[in-house]
Amino acid sequence: MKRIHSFSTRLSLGIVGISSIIFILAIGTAMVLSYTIVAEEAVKSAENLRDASIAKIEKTLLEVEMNVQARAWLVKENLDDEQYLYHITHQIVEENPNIIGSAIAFDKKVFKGKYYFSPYSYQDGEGGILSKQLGSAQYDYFYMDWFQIPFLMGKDCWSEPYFDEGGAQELLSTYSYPIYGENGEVIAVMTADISLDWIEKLLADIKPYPNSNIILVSRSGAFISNSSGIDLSGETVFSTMYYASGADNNVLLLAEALSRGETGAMEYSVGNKVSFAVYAPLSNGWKTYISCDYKDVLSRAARMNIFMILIGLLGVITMFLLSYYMIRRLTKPLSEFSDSVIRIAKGDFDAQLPEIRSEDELKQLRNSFEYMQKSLKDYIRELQVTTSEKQKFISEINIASKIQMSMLPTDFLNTDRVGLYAMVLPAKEVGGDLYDFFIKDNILYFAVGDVSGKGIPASLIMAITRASFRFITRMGLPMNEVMSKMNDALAEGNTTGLFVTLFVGRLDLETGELQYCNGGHNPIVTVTPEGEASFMKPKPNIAAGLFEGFPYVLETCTLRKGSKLVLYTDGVTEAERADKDQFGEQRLLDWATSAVKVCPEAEEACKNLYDTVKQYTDGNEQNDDITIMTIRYN
Amino acid sequence: MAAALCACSLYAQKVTFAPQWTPQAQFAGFYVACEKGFFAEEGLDVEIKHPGINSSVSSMDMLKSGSVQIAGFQLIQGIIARADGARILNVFQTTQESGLCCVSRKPISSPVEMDGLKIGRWKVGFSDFCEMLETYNNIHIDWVPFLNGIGMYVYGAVDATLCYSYSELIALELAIGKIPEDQILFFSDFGYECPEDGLYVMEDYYNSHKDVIDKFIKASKRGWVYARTHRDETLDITWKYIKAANINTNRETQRRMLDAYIALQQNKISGRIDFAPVKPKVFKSIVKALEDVGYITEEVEYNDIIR
Repeated sequence: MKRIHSFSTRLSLGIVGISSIIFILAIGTAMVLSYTIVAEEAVKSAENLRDASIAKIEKTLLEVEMNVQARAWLVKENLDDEQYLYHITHQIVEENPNIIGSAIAFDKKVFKGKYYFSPYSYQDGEGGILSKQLGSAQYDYFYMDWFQIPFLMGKDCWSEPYFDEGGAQELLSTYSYPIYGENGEVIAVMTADISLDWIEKLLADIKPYPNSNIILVSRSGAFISNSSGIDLSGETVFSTMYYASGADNNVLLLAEALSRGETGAMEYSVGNKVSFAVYAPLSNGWKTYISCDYKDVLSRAARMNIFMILIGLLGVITMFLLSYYMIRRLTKPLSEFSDSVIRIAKGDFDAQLPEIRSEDELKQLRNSFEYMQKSLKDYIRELQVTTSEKQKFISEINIASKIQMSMLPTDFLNTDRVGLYAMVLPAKEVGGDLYDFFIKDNILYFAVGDVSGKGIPASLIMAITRASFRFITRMGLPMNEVMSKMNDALAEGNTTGLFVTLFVGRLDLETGELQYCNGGHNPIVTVTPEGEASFMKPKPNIAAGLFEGFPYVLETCTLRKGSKLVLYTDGVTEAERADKDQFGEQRLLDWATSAVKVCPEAEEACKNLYDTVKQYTDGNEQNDDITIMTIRYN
Repeated sequence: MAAALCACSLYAQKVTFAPQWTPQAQFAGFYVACEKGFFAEEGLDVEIKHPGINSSVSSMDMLKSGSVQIAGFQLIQGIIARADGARILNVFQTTQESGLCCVSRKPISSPVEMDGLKIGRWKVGFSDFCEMLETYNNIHIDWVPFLNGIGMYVYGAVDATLCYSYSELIALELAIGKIPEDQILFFSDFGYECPEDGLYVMEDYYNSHKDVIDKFIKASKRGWVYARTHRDETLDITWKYIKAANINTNRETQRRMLDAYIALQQNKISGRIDFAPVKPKVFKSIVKALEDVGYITEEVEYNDIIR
């Protein structure tokens, strides 16, 4: 079934559709902007965190460095007091709880007879501090990085992270500070070992995002601390790259930038995970970087955007419902109008129109409808009156027609001597054609006429004519006299201008003498006993009713037995087809020539002529009364 | 000092073996022979004792002191020790090529350019080569011996450092990134054809336990062949030894080391991996070089040491 969407639904959907497009564009722009801003802010925030963590770490490292450096002069001053040298290391460990061990490793040339000399103090793990001499053939410190590097370079440094072999597998780093002798040569390296566990704790507390990883690596790229929870001991920044499947080239660039001790930020991806990292070196050559997963970074923005989308959707739905409700309310009268119009169309002209309180187009529409309703009502009322009157008139006309027809004699003749048949077919309800006949003293009187005009006036004239024919004929006057009297009767006081073409005749059935007078009527057709048909050529007389006192001429002839007469009005010869071609006199003559033979009786012949004319007009509307009278004389 | 024990039986012949360094993929074939039971199948109960990471006691020291019966070290070390009177014998040559190179902080194209540079080298066992290098190229290098690794290069304490392609070079590249090729000088490209790692025993032990040594070598070869064809498994086995000794390294380093080391087992010319003994001609040229630089005074014959 075809679903019909209401106007309000379509309009509401249209509004919502356009609003949705605007909304999507707005939300899309807002999302892109919010993601960009949040990402930029995240990088800045991560950089701040990075710098803050570097500052915190460096502060602790600096305390250690200061602790060592502050005592360097004491070493030089007390080279001859071994116990004091031990005391110095003891002091360093004692003073700074971060320092778990401290040594003064002397070069082999400083003390004669002492290849290895390195006073060393360390936390014993139970709150005490122990001391010992560190160097030996098994612990050949001269070739260890913590000694050798500052010794060769002549400057302090922090060692690569290492695990405390004897202790609790703590990750340690050693700060080494070279002490110069009188001649500018390095005579010893002073150290402080610190556990690096605090760095992990420190960095864990400042994670910017749940999945962020804050990493501190040594000069060799070894992991000092990482907050990922993954054990990366022994790994380097470069080695871990090979475990990350799907890493893009930026991962390598990041590792290289980090290795070179650069400061910056870089975006990289591993598989589907896109992250950025901010990185910077510490003053001791270590490097830190903070990596942040964009998923984490943008999650807040994403939540906000989801909220925006939900609000937007809610807005669109509300807009749809509201606009639907409002449009429906505004257009409700339209459907009520529709109902009213249907009711009016069904004839309920008192159907109630919807009430419109607003002064707008709908009010105008209602006014128009109301006017139309009133006009229709008035028109229909008038139409009802008119129709009623017309009905009455038609009814009266019908009665008049019946009366008129009843005036015409229907007791047609069909004896051996004479046969007569006639028919009148008015074009309207009542016509102006007439015929009449009667026999008196073996004489047949007959007439055929055609009143000018049609309808009621013509029918009245026809009635007068027929009545005057009967009356005047009975006076026994010659037929021209009859015609004259009828003319006078009709012409007297005739202000309507109506007239009658009339053919009146008197046939002596005994002798065959035909006396007749033609008052402007169509010439009648005579058919001889031999079957030859021809038009009579009567004297020219004018139609009756035109000029009172007109002198009509009488004519006579004698019919031989077996002759036939065909009288007719112009409704026959002027009968038209749709192409306006008329039946005409020639066709009438042709019919008379042929038909009289096959239709010997008057009735047959009369009906046959009518059928022939009807056949000729082929259903075209009859526009004039048709009257035919056929007479057979034997 | 790290030690590892292979599966053994009551009747197995006990053997102690010292590789020349702490656990790493350089010794993977021996670990595989241990772990896959190749030693056990030969009726050997092998104990692997690695030198300590911070110790000056080398695998040769361990061999000489009798704390191990079999030790791994380099051919030159073996020749010098023999010349010095140590009754040691080379019974198995693990590599056929030299992976020795010099990684410089600046581009370097020949050994001559090492003149005057401060270059790091291992404290244990390479002074001989260094002197040969100086003598033959008529240069002076300020050598800086170190015990361990790449620290001095990374910190900038030296201008260059000696590396093995399968060890320190890999560690360096994983520490500071790819080293440009023009900063690496491979000595094999300059006529230094000295196969490195081999297995050594004392002559007395060889005479009394030849069958044990043969079995050890047979199982070791199997171990290396297996390692070549089962790299991931070999890496897993090696990793076990590394973790047990608490060595600070990573799998990527060890993976690269295994690949690089196995590459050195292949003869450059023949392309074969047959663990063939060092060729007499090569041996003679090394001995001559050592004599030239005065590192040995007593002539060492091929048959004296190579078995």
